[in-house]
Amino acid sequence: MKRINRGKIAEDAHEKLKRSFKDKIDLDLLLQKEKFIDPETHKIKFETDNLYLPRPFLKEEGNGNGSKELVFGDCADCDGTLNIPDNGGGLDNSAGAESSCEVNYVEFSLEEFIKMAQEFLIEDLKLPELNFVMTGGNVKEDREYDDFSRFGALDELDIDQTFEDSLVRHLSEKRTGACILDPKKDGWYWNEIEKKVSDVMVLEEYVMDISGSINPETSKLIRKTVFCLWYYLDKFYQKNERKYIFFNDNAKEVTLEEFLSVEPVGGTRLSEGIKLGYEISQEYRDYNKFFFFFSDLDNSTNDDEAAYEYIERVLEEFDYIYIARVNPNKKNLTGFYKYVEKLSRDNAKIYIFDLNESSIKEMLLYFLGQNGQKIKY
Amino acid sequence: MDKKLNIEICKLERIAKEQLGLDFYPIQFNLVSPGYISQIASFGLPERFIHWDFGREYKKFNRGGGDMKILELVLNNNPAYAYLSKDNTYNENLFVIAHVMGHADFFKNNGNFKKLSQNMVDKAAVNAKIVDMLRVEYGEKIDEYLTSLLSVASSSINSLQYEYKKKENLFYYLYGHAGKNECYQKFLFDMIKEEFEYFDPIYRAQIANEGWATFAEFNILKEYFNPQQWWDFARNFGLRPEVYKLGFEIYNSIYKENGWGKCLDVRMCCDDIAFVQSYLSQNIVNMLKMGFKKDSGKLEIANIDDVISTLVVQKQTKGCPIFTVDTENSEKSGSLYIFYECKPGEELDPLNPRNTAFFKQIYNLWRNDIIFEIYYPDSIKGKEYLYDPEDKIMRIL
Repeated sequence: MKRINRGKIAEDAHEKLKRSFKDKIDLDLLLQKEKFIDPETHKIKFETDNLYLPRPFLKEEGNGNGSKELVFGDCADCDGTLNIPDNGGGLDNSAGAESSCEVNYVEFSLEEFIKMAQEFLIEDLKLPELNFVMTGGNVKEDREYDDFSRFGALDELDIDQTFEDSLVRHLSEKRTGACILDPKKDGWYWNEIEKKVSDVMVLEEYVMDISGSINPETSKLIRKTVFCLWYYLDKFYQKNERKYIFFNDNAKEVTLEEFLSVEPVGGTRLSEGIKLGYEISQEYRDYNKFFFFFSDLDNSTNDDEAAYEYIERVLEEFDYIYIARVNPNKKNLTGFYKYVEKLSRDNAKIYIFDLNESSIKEMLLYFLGQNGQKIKY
Repeated sequence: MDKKLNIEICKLERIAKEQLGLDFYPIQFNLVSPGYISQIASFGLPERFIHWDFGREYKKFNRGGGDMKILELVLNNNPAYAYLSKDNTYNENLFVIAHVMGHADFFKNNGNFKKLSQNMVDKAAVNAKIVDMLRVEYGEKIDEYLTSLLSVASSSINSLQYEYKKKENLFYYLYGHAGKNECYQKFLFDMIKEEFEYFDPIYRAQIANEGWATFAEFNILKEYFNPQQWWDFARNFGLRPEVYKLGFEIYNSIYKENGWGKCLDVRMCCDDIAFVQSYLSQNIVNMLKMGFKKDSGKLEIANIDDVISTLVVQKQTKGCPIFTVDTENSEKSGSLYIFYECKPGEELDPLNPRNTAFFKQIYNLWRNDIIFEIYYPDSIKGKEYLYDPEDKIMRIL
């Protein structure tokens, strides 16, 4: 009989509880990165109250019972502290409840944090779920543990009934019958037939204006949009190349962390950002390329000609270009805005839209609906 | 189990029983994956109810976040179940087989373990199945109630207390007043009580137990190993946790002074407090360089009395402030009166969110007013707080 991994089920329950703290996550936290990102481990930390079993504790942390800390002078395998409730090394001595005196923190890597922030935003904006799955084996882990846990043991299952239920559930959830049975999962799950997406190479470039005219609220809006875009693009392409560029008078390729936490400052030369985006894309032959450009389009007057030239080049190089205008002021349409608006009328590869809270949803629905069909997958 | 290893087990068992006089129930050795050992280590038993807190432990063990590699696990049962890791080297397996025999002997003979169920492995497995079924019926309520029970039990159950003191013990008081609870709540109360009482002596006699297992292992292998194997053993021995070393050195000193027979006697009757109070000496403290760190970071070798008193307090409190129930007021009023006496340097702030979270768990089990009284060293009258279930905070009365 296959043994049920109760440890994994319990671990999953613990992870679920950890994830319930996601409502505490706000992208603004990233702007205070000194406070939340550990400079040594680069992990993002949140203080929590109930990740560990709640137990009473004294004001003086670490002493536990207020007694002095007894240490061994030449302890070879530890820091020398005599840790009486020792769990390692052999006999397990507890009911798993000895950890409440530890500091209560949840730690996430930047990647984990982004994934949780994405889910939070997707829920917050009530964006649709994708009703197709691009890769095989996308089993919902939570359901696996719940189901095993509910029934207790595999040998008690009515396998025929389970097959039938599982298939019905699959059809109702996925709305497709294109699936294969994974024998490793004991017929409990149906996996979608894998579509060949792994060979598609994609470059995503995110170019953000950080000039002084972009206020913090606006830059937050841009980040929110970028987060939501990633969420969907991740579903299409698992191994995308992502490049982050910001520009004011000059352009610079930056890391994800910098991209998320930079403060707006300086003048605006749109051509600098577009040019760097174009130059980077030259290194990626045979890629599908997406160009996402976020700016108020309030360009320096002597830069328009250069910007026109590079946006034309980018148009040739990239498959799709999304230009999001922030701080929209219809009364003062800039030369560059008019230029790209004209381009978008003549060319289906370029989309231009005004970015605000409600248009994020519209833009993504548009992306998923109409443009999603055009994306090669 | 490997055939060659089975032969080794028989040989080691013969040395343990015939030459050293150990006496234990049959041991069923299982060679299992490190992942499965992690699972047992985090749950305490092979099949036990599922709770997220065990998941945290499991992750720690399974992802290498624990203090050290787990070589083996042994369960107090008849037959005793021992689990050896498949990742162990051949010699490591021999160490742990001998070590397990020491534990099995301690379980069978030590007074603290004698009154315990010898069938907890099966009992816990049955309980786990019932909890699974209850989850289907009651959903998240089960996990919430288990969290509250584990939270209160882990900070209250301590069999070092005298029987009459149990009346004032927070967990036992709540258990005694669980009559009006729903059926599933009573079942969970019974289950947690039984399982915690099973685990409590393991904590209560950890130094004596681990020390004995290590001492027995040392003596069994001394009779058995060739010089090359002994060299391996010596290297491994030096890396044992400090609890093992402390216990080992105490038994070793008893052996040197009073012989093997006395060691057998001591392993029968001692828990950790009796063990260190009776047999820990200044020589051992000096040899193991036990002491307290000064503010400057320098270690000062401790006086034997200080070491003993520190160990005794650790054992009595499990590193957690102990709350006591004021039974007289509670019975009179129908509310739950809990008090805590602060000793110097042991102040507790009930308004702190972490303590409030604990009171929330007590409320989940009690479902009526909770009054918490705290006594400070210099004041005659205590300070009273009331738990407000609406806002989930403590209010000063």
